[in-house]
Amino acid sequence: MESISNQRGSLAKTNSGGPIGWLLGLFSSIWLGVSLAVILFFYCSVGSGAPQVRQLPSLEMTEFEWFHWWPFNVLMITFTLNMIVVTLRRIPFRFINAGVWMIHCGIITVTLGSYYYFSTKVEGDAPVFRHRVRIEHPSFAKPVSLVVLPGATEQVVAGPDVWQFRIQSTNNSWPILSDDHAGEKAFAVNISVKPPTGEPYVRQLLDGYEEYTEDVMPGKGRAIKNIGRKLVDEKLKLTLDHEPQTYFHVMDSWALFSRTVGETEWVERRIDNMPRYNDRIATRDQIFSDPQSPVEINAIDLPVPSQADGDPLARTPVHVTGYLRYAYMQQRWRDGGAALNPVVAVSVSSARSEPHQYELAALHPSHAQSDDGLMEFRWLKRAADVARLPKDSMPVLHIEVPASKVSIDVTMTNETVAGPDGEFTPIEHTEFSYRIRGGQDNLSIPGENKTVSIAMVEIKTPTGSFRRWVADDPALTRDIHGEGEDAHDMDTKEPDSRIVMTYAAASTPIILAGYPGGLHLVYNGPEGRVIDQAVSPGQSVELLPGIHVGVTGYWPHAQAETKPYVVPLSARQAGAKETYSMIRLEVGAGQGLQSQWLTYHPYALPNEQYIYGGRFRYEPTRFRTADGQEVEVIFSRRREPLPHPVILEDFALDTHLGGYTGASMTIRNYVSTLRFEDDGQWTEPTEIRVNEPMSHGEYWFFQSVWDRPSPNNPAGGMNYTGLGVGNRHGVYIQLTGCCIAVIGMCFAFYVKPVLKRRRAAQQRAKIGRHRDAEYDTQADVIEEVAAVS
Amino acid sequence: MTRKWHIYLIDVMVVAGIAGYIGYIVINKEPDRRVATSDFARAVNLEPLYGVAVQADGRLRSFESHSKTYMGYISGPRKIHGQSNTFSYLDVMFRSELYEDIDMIYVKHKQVRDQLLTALEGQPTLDEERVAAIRKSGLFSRQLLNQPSSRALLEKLGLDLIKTEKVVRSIESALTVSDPRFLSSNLKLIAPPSGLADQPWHAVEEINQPGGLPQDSTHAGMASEANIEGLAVETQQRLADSWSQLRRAWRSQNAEESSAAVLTLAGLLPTIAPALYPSGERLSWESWYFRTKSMSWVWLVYLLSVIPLLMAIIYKWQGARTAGMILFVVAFALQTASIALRWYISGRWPNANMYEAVTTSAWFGGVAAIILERIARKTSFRNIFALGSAVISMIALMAAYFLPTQLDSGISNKMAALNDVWLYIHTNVIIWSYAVIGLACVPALLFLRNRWCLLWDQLTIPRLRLLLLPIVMLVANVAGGMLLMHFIAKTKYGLPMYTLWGTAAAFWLSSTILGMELLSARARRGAGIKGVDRAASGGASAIMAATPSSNPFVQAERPTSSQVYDGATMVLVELSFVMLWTGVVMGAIWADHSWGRPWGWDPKEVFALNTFIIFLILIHVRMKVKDKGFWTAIIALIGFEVMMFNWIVVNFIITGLHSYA
Repeated sequence: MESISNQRGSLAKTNSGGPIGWLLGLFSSIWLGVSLAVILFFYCSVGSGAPQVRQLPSLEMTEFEWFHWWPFNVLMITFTLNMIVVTLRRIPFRFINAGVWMIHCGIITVTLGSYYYFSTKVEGDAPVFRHRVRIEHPSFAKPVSLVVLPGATEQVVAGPDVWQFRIQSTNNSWPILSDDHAGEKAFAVNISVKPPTGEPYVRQLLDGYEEYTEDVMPGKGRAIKNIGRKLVDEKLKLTLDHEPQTYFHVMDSWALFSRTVGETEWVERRIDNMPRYNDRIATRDQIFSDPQSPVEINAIDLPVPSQADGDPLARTPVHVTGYLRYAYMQQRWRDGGAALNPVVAVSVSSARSEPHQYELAALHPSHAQSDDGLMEFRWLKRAADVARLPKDSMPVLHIEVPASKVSIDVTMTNETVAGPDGEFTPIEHTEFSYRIRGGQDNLSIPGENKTVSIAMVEIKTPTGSFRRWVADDPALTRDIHGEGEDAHDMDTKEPDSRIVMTYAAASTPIILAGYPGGLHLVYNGPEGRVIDQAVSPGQSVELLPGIHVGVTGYWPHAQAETKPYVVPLSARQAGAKETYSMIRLEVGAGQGLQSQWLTYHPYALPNEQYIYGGRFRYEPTRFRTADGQEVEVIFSRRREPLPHPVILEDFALDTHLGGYTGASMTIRNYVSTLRFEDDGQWTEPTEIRVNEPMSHGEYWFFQSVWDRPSPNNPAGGMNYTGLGVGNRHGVYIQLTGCCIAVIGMCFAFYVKPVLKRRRAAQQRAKIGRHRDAEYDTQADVIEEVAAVS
Repeated sequence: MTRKWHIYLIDVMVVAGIAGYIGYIVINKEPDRRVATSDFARAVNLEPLYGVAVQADGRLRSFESHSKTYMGYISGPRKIHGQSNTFSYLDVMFRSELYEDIDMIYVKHKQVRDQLLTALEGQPTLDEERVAAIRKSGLFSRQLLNQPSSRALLEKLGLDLIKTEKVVRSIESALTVSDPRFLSSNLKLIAPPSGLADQPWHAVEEINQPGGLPQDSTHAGMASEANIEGLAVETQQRLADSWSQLRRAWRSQNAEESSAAVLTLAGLLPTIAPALYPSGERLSWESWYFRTKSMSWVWLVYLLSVIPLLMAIIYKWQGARTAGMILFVVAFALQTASIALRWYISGRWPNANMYEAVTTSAWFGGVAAIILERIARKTSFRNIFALGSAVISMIALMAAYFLPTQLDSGISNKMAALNDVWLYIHTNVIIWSYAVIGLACVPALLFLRNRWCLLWDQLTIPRLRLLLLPIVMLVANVAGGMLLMHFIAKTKYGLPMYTLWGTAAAFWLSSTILGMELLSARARRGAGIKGVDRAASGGASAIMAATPSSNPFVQAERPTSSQVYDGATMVLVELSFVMLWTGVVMGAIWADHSWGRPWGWDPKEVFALNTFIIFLILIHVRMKVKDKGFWTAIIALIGFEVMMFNWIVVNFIITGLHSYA
């Protein structure tokens, strides 16, 4: 290769002067090529090694966009031109130079192939769900469909009747025990059916074994054993169908999908020029953020024009006016509400840990207590009620015997709780004695959204004894007569009024008690329970040495405010990409302008059946158009129709020794069996695996993601497969170019030296024969050989 | 003579500096290695366990390999009290109460270590000596880590997903793994009696006698409700009894009984499903392999070969030449044995994780060196390739030896995506090309040393300036690297403000000096050695020209050292150029199959392309510049740095799709 540097190629022309000649001269320069290669090196390094640069607010580019930006294109075109001109003008077209020619031609071919490839590239992914259940009943107007994903529900209203269906569970390797199929395994779906009348039951469907469909009655077992037939309601027909996927979503794209409420089909409009990496907000009021990571104000206003027929927002202006890369909706409280809604904000700090912040709302059971059980906020009608707060954080049993005017409080500790075999404690000046057997706090009441705390007490009277369940809600306190422990043997009665008991469940160590005009802090101090500590916003109290509780805000009439919380950089999951992105969408104009934050959806799914325990998102946001129409909108990616819809026939794991345990390393491969629709017919099943893709039509399908079974339930999961979808025009041109270049390199580096050496040897031989005549010294010979080389 | 004395002195100082540094690392590697083990630990015979298999993560490992992996989760590169992994595993499992306040959980991150120690200040068991020991070893006890102040700190650090969440996660994992219940439930020693490969293996604790195991002290902790379907009652009974005996004897520190129980278990386990059970020979070799630190100690043999090879090449000492080559061949043979053994143990060619990529790459370098040494055996190029390979292999194996946390030698199954023939070819060709790039560095450095010596001799540059030049080069590299890391991963490796400015100033100053030196006429023309101080024709041509011809009439003059170094650099650069391109193309073919696209601008792909671009620049710059040898050496070194950036920084810092290699 060195020999070409100072030679002129066979097609070389003398520079004719003028701009063209100057340009030809420039593009014939190896130094130009080297300079371009250096620029290319730095361009690639910055784009890939320092993504912060391409992610700057003024650029906002993905890797793909960075490497298709006009400077890169200009660079590549210049580099290719340089290579073409240099090859033609400076490398003699001789066999000895075939290597260099092939390298250059190969690289030029790769470049052209890549240009074709990337300019036509479409790439995305699509989840393909395994099945849906087709539900038919004579009373239904039309068949109903329910996707087979555990948790998916469907309610069917048929006249006055309401049916409820729910996918209870699936099993990807259900063993068949009956008949000739014993030993085989099938995909099983259990559907919970709640008919308008009668008991709910579960219907089990086995994929490919319709004859084994049967109902199971909860608590009773298989229907056939209870009612003599396999199906509770033989008119109800549930069958497994395939769930064709007709779209795939395009990688690194943005789109808005809208439809009138009640419609089933989404209408897409693409969002162009959207930021991707940097937050864009118009005012800080639009969000919550960490005080140490403030979000810069940098507004955007991107119109999102309608692009398709049937768009319910076609005549309504739609703009994206905000973007958040990583945020989630959060509810906080602030003052200024009309109704009573006491909320307190508290900070707990210790010398050795960071302060913990709490916001507690007294009238909202789920927000009244801190998650760690450290404190709770109660609302009292008057200040005097503070005295009635628990004087101990331990549970307290209050006993009153009205006839004797005796009233005692028993703190339930290891000493006072006697258990079933302990001694009875007499109540002084009365004829009663008691034995506390135990207590249970915060028991859920079935069917009701509340809890109850109970102390179990045995009471001995002069005439006998009975048990009492003393609830913290006195209305639920019951006396139990009878010996058995079984519920059926129990005889429960209203409590005996001769002895009255109330139970105060264990309280949190810290209680904040609000009342009209004030706030109290009740806590366990170093010298016992403190109940007379009034506090006000801004005040901090030292509970124990080094541990402080500070009230940072107190609003008796608080109102909830829900806004996106921008997660600080340090708390963001690496690789989350756009999963937690949000946009602020403005719909309408003037008086009718509505503005809401929309969360990102990886897929524009048709309804909430597809949520699958939160694995997929379905949170449409509703807007009302000027003509009163209610429209729902979701923020997602662009989608492309699949020319040939695809169904998932089967999805299986190929495992290593010991089977699948939940660890990725136990999986050898994932196998999706697919069928495509061709001219209205489904093709024969074809398997794809990791590293074994397939092409159908213009697209290439490859195994991308999967529905991972839980390690605790290896038979679950596998309800859908995730297919990568893309085209690959120009791949073979690229490959051809690569191969030509490889051959060229081998020729240039390893064949050419041999050829040259052979020629030099021939030359030497020739010289040797005539050396006496033509050369005087060996030095001349060496000089000649060097010239040939 | 004067020149030699100076140069020798400087050479000796450089070699002594490197040797001193290696010695320092060796001495400071294991602060706990001098701790004496207990009498029981010495007396109990665990050798029968070397032939016992444990099923974990989809493969069968030897007991030693399993315990190494699990104790690695707990103690990282350290060893508890200098005990063997197998002993520690059993001891922590059977006598967990003793380990509550023993410092055994490794915290790698030094800042987290310090923060934990600050949070634990005032703990009665934490005296100054223990604090110093913890600071040095990084080992904390479970008790210390479970203190409320530690928990509060870890909770806070866990929220920082960029800097410390991973560290906290590894501490939490260590706490989980060091729980005796976890250790025993994951010790899956019993093969499925059905003999089916896809059935799960069982832990001994799952054993249940018919009617329930007697709940006495010997069976405490064993689940009584579980049973192993298909396992003969008698076998279950024997297994349960020997396990109980082992537990009881171990707790009472009865070495004889413990050894007897181990022997019984080791004899019994392979009989349950003989068809599934791996051969005792394989398991024993696996145990041996891990007990010998995966044979990474071979770096010492390579080090021994480097010294005579250097002397042979630089000082042309014939005796050193023979000794160096013999040592090199021995080292290479040992490394080959290590690769072959790993292949035999894992059942696949070792190239599926970072450890395997690094060590196999070095071995490929050795293969290339042996082939090239064979070709160039009668030329002045001889020994250079062997030296290059010895240096690269020594560094790679030292990394494996001294950085076991970063380069985990554990054997695992390949990820599903890696099961592809194209990928196999692609990764092997790529790592081979990386090794060749590494090899090219050595003659390039020798060339620069030669140039430096010439300048020293000719006094065309003041000697002080010459002495400072390598230091400036080092400063420019270190400061450049720090700045690069700062800008690439500011949130994790960001420099404090003053350090940042200081580093920037150091980089600016050193790179300016270096740039001026590079551009100065004196340096560029090699002190008047214009156009001669390089191989007349590079690469394969050079090696052919140096090969003796059958025609004595045309024997060329003996080439100078610089010409040899330059020629060797070019041989290796050309080889790596072809291999890198071919490897990248094969990777594209695989990516097209696996991900549906041949090229995705993934950082790993882009920096592989960048490495190729550097060598493309080298080949074309060489055509145009006058001081070809000098610029070839400089760009070859830059290419090596870009390759290392691709291998280390891109893999560990810049996340991409190539996390496994």
